[in-house]
Amino acid sequence: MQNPFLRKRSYTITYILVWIALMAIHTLVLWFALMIEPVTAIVDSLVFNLIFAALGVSIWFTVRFSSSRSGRPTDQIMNHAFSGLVMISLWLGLGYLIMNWLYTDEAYLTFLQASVLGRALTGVFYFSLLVMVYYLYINGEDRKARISREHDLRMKVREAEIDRLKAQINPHFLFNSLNSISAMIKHQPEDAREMVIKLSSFLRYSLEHKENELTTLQHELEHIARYLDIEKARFGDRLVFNPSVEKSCESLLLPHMILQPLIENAIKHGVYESTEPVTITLRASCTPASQMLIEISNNFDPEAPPRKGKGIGLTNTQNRLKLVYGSDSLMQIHRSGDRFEIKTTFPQTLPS
Amino acid sequence: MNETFTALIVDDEEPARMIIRDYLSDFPEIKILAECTNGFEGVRQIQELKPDLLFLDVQMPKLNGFELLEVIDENPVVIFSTAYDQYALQAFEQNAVDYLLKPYSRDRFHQAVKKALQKAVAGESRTGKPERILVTATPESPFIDRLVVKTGTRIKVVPVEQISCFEAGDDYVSLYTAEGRFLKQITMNWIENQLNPKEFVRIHRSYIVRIDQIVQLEPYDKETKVVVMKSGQKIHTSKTGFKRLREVLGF
Repeated sequence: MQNPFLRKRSYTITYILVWIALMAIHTLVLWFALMIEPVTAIVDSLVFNLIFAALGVSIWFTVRFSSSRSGRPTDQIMNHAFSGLVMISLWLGLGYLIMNWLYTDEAYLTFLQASVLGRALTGVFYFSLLVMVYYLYINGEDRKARISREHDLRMKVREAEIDRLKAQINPHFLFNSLNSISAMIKHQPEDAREMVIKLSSFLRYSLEHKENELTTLQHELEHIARYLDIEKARFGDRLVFNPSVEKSCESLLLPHMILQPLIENAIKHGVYESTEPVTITLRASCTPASQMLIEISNNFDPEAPPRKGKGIGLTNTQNRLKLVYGSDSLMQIHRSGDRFEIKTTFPQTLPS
Repeated sequence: MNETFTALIVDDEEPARMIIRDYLSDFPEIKILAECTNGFEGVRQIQELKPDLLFLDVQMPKLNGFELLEVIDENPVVIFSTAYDQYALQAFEQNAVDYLLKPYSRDRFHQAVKKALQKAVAGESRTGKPERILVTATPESPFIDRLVVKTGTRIKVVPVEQISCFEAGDDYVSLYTAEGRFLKQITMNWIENQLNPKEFVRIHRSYIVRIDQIVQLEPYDKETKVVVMKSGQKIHTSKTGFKRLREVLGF
């Protein structure tokens, strides 16, 4: 970080103006209060204040250095006391040298000697003030940097969130469902209303912020049931859902929204491509109770040419499983004849 | 104007057909001949009933909307109706009169049908197929993954991964698969652009082969070779074809 008084024009001007004001006060004090001749007062003021102003710029480095290291506060105070001592000695030494060289006038030299304590105290005051200003500046800059970093981070999180939603809520599913509702409104208004409610519940569950949180199988199954109800309005008898879940599994845990992409995959590759009914089977078993096994399978038309974009949804699911459980062997995919099956194991203990 | 028109609806989802039916009741001059739930049935009904208007979905089992248009001999006036917005350009290239994005309003539907009726009255519906060749590649993938061919009255969807070789004919291209040879009215240059260059290579002006179907290369002369395919077929490369083959095989 560069010295603030050199970095920005407005700061440089402020620094100069403050010193001009101080010089004026200094001159006036010498002239009127201490009865020093005006020209001598001006020279005294110029010499001492200009030297301080110049040295004042350089103490930025000591402040920067000591604030960037996270030492104990007493260490920092010691640092500044030492650099203050050095600077003030330097300042007085230089000032006295110049003034002694410029003036031989007895009365002024006597005053010069008598005023050493007063000047030293003023120096300490100026020095402390400057150090404080520098500290305030560094603090402000740090905060600005932190805020902008936090802002960047928030933006990134939001982008990731949007990507996640796009992946979870297939826009074509949404638009086709809305089209079904639009079709039903006139002749089956009650069904249309039911569908709106199911779609709303579906969206609410999907939008919950639970990316890596666990939920119960029961919640996931309710979500899937809603999802399939909505799809059934579109596909009618072409879609058959056949769940069989051991009662004791319902309270077991698995990641939020992990099953829907698997069902969606079955619909995409089964129902989309087949004119015959496609049965999606879901079996959940949990013996031993430390492992829940969920098998989702569907039949498909083996004659249908393979669809594009195959496997992206499944890869995402696999990645999530790895993220949550730290294992990439939890999902197994089998394909034989006209049957597609995904077996997923959900351990009931998380890796620490 | 007492003229009447006939229409056919091809969509695999019942609610989607229901809304078209419902909106069409505002047009007493249009008679719905049939509703089809998949592409194959659509082709059959279009050939048989020859409707004036066709309401067509894109995403359907067996044969999608674009593939359907590809295999019928005479195009009716087509109105696409789909939830996918990425096919609009392709639809208009196919001379579709309008492209309805589901869900659509009654007004929007009326607008589309009025346009379609004007076109039908002008007799443009029976002017045959558009000249431009169909593109079945989607924004998801720049390459096609299947081709629709006709064998007699049968329609067959051939996955590109089952094609071992393309051979140029007079005004068609032969596709060689394990099941046999199929003809399609496309050009070699068009098909070359639709194929993944990592999977296929054009070894001759008249031949494109699937790289993983090549068994060996037999010497012919200094600058050309004979490619032996898994099927036993032998194809002579051209000079530039051999250069291309060397590039993709990396020797």
